[in-house]
Amino acid sequence: MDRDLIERARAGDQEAFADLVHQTSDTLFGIARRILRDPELAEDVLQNALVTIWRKLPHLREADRFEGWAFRILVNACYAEAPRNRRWASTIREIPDRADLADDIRTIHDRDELERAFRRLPLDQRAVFVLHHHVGLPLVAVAETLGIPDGTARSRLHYATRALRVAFDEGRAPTQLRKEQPA
Amino acid sequence: MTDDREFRRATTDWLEAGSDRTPPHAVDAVLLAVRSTRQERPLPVPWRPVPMQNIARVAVATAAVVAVAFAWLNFGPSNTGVGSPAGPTATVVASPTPTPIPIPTGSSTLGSPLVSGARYITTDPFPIRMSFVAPAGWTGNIGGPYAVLLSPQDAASPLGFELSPQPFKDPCKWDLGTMSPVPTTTDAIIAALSSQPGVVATAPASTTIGGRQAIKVTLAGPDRTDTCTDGHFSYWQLPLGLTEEVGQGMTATLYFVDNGDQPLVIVTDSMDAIRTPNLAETIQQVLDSIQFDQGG
Repeated sequence: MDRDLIERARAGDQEAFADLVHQTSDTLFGIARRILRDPELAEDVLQNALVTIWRKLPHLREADRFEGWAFRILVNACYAEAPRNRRWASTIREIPDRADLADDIRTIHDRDELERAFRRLPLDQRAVFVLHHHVGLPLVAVAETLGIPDGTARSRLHYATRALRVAFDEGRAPTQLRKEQPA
Repeated sequence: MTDDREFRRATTDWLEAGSDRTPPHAVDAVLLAVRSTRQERPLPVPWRPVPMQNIARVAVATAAVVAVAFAWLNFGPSNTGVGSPAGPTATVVASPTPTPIPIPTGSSTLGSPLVSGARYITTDPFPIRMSFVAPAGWTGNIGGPYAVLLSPQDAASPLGFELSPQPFKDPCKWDLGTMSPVPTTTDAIIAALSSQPGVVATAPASTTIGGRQAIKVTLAGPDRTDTCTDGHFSYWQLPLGLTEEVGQGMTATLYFVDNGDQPLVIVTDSMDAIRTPNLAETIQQVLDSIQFDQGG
């Protein structure tokens, strides 16, 4: 992240903030979309978070900590927005007409199981999971970003992973799909 | 049980699916919003408590115990048993008002039900902390950094707390866009509204809301709105897109409340007066109950 850009935006330079928005918005949108599982809702959250980031930027003491600070504002915006928007965004998928159909169906099936299980998780577990597995932050950094103890971050990740694993295993168990050997 | 590698691969595939590209209109809306949004400046010198010596701690603790004991003896419950007459009327009250309840946030103008008679307070992302007492059957919603919307259930929102309004050049042809530069002071916004074609505005009148100075202006809409773009006569929009309008033959009363450089505008309108009995009285009760938090 460009330190000079952050300093200028912090001092009230709107052009610098616009550059900062262009540099960070995709990352922030990706995080919100994954936590909330709804692109439209993620868009609303992103907008609120970016305006809050602009407003509160003078309070950021160290420019080097901008990214984590912005992540925390975004995650808090997700927490604020989500409870009123418990809708299920259904998606229609096209099943490809190919020889490796069984693999594709299994992939779709796996994703559906994981999606359903993830949507059942509390938002705080989702946030830890996304920051750790999607953003790639170590657990200590996740804890610092969210302002929670390391142990809390670890247990949230543990519960989230376990729930996904159970759903994944159960999804595979009853109708184990196998690729038929050619005669 | 599937193996770990298979689970990790499936999880990664699922988690990384989809596009992360921010819709350009979302970024445009934010940059437009930023143009009329002030940054918060931290207070210059933080107050630091002076370290307390142990002996002073003991003295303070002793004084606290004595104070509590004194209060208990004078105002505490009588030990004469159930049904005994109450002691002197308690003059020690924890707080003059009940603890306010944060009102929920939302992405639409539809609000969450509020508990009648409870005091609610605005929270992030709306930057001003203000509280009010909820009327029976009303809903509330923090629509984002610029608007808090209150309304009777299933009715259009007749009461809004708004920031950074951007008046349209022409309320009937609002698709022509907003005025430039955007007026930011109370006087400039009122002048802008008064200059809009088709708007009839009353003379500004001084009043107070929640103990703060305010200017009240009432706008009257046109006799017909069906010739306007999409049938709406919209006098302004907020940075993230929410618009305010006056209905055919209706009025909107605006209170520009002193809030430093840019005013807080409390918007009330009569659009649902027919469906909602006593709407004007209820709105007035909400206005009378408004209190500003010290930091807000």
